[in-house]
Amino acid sequence: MRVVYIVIAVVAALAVGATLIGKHAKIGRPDDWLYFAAGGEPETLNPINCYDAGGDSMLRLVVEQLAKRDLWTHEWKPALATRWEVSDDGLLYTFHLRRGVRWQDGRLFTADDVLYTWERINVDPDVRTMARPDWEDCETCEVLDDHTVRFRWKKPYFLAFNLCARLNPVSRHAFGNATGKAFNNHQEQSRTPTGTGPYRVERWDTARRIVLVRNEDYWGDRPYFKRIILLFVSEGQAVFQLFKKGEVDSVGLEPVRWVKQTGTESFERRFIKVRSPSCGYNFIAWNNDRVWFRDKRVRRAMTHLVDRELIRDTIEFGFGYIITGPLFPWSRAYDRSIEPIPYDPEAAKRLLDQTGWIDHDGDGVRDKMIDGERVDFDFEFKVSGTESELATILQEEFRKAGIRMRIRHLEWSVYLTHLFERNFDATTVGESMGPDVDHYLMWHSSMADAETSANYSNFRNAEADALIEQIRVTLDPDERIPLYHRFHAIMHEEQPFTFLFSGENMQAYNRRLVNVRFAPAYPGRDVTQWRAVPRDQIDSSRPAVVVHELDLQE
Amino acid sequence: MRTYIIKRLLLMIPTLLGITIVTFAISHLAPGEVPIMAGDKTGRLRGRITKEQIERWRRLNDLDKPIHVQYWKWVKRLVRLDFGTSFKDGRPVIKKIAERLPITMTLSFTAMFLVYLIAVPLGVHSATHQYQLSDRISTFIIFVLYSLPSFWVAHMLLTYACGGEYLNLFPLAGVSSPDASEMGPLRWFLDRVWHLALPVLCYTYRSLAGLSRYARAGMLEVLRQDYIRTARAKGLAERVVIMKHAFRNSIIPIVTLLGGLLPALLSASVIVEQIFSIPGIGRLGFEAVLNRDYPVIMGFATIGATLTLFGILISDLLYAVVDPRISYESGKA
Repeated sequence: MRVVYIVIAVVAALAVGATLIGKHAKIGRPDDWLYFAAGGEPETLNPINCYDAGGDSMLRLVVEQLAKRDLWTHEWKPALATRWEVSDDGLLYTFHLRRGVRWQDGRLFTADDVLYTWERINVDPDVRTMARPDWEDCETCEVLDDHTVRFRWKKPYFLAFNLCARLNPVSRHAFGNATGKAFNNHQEQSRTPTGTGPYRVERWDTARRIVLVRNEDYWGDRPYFKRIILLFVSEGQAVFQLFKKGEVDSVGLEPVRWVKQTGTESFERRFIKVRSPSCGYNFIAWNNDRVWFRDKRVRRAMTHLVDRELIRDTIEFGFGYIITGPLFPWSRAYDRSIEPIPYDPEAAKRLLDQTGWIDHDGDGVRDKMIDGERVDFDFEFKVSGTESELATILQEEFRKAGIRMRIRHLEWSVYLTHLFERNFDATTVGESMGPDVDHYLMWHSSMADAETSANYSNFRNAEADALIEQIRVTLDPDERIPLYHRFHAIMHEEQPFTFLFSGENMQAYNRRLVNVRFAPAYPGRDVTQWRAVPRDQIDSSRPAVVVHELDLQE
Repeated sequence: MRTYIIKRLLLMIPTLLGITIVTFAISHLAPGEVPIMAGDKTGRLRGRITKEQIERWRRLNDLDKPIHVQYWKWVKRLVRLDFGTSFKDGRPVIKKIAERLPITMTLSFTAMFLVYLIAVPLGVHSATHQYQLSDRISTFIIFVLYSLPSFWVAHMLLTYACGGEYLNLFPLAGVSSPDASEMGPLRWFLDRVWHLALPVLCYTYRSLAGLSRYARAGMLEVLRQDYIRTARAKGLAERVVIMKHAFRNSIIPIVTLLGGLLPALLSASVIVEQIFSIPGIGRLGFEAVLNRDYPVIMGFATIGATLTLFGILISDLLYAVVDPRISYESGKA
């Protein structure tokens, strides 16, 4: 028995000792190291098929694009290409590449690397990439000389330049000229890709962290931070606490955190909160092929039943801008003269009565004779994860109007399958949009007939199709505006979705950081511009809450 | 003894095959497509992947074949100890598991050691002081602990003991400090202990209840035996009666529980590793299930099952060690 007590005492002593030592441990944390945290770990850092937000934010510092878009003005600026020419018919895009740029392994970057990258996306069917549909109309990529490439498009496409400029070349020799599956699974390049950018991947400790170190041979301006570290922390609560302990420098905030957990004096003394418009928006998708939602008057009635202001005030803590169409509300493409359909249950009931959805049998649920059969207005609403709060509010509102809505929770991967196959009556999802948006994949009727697609509501409208096609070939941004406005009006008229909110991007950062800005356009920040001051020189007089406005309509 | 062990080891093969068949079938029949790039987890969907691309990818990974063909291919590879490559990042499954197993094993064995260390003396104490105040108090506390779900306790510990607003005693995530590689051995060890203290606590506290109740019951039963009365009658000190005569006999049922504790700890690791961001096998398995990463799911299940089978075998063998009446020699048992 005595032995047992001794062992227990030793364990206890160890725990206390470790705690004391650990607590006072001076963890090496130089001023010029920048820490972020992400919930999930990327699958890969392969520049062609990394789709993880955290991984992508790291990758953007390692590989570069032909041109770089200013996050605030949206203008294109030289990066790996120093200049470019677009032919008058909008079919030829010629990029002159920067000379003397070296890959991080010392080799020279040439036009052949651009060609290799383009081929992986466009003519190598086994390469996993989501970019392929966008490039569909790009016919060839020609190497004119070591420092000139030309992309030839089959027909004009208003996003063709963006796509070419955004191309981030990978190195042919670093990949060992791999193709197909060998390219996807290239062990070294998937973990420590070779880029030309201001940082290179120093190490990736699986499930722990990715460490970037400054590329001292970078051709451009040297960024301030020597190391940038992305920690993988699977628990959201822990990420926020790491931030409050000063172990992570910047963190995204949910509305609830912004309102309830970041307002104290001690928080504001150490951190700054920033709010800016976000490209994200969310909506309720009605499957237009289902009996209940075929008629646009019914869909309008559904929108009348969605109390968007209440939802915003309760679920979103008052943040978000009520939108009326799938366009970025701060861009010129969005027509602000279109007023949101108000919350009005009486108007909804009138519309439902008009369309023949009446409670004939007195069971509290509206019904209608369709093809000789009595159909109840009784549909299923599929959700995954955090949307159940919204679903509950809707359910109650619909019940009062004589509509029965059943909520079905699905696990994320199951949900995605149902969503892309449009195997649902109604659901709610978020999407993102930018100042120039191609609505083809989401709204063109040909996508409603595809087996899997992002035309979630199976929307079919001939005029909308024509507008979408016309926008795609209209290269002059000013000429696109009236087309977008007409498209917006059709969306409002047809109500294939009930559009909810354009969200806000909320961030907080440590006061030791300066020159921090957040932009609505993806990826939302450019950390090469950020700097830090030593901890004893922190300026505590800067305002604790910053709201970045952005209005491209002015 | 040797023939018994060989027999048991041979029996493991069909058992393991059975386990893998069931796991393979369940994981492949469960709804949900492998979400290759279908969207990130924030709910913003960027997936615009065509059906054709998905089909091509399925062909590339044999997912278009009938399930029994897929299983047969899997078994054929397994014989060569090839668990395949992960759908997620294309890395070999065996490598992914190998880099994560040690930390989970460290946690599980530490927890197991602590559970026995605390639960057995506690159970014995409760038995020898049956219905006394100390028995009632310890029983009460242990049942309270038993009824606290570990995800809740883990979150409470994170919030209140890991800094931010309240007590700042422990780290929030991970298994070591960022600069651990530069520490001396003692510092490194203490750093590890500091990081793993809370996860181990979460592993340990719930298993205490069951085990200490078994220890208590086992002891009580032994104490009622005639030979204990004899021992007391011949004037042995109470200490000697309990520790020498009663204790060894009372721990037989507890030894068997060893085999069952390992799988319990492995499954607990899924939750605890997720909350404390520990790069262990539980988190790997959990993420694999969410991503429908079949090769990793199968690797995780096979290794977990193998460990469990060995755990059971070891506890059966320990039977013979603690109880001379039990023998595995053929004919004598």
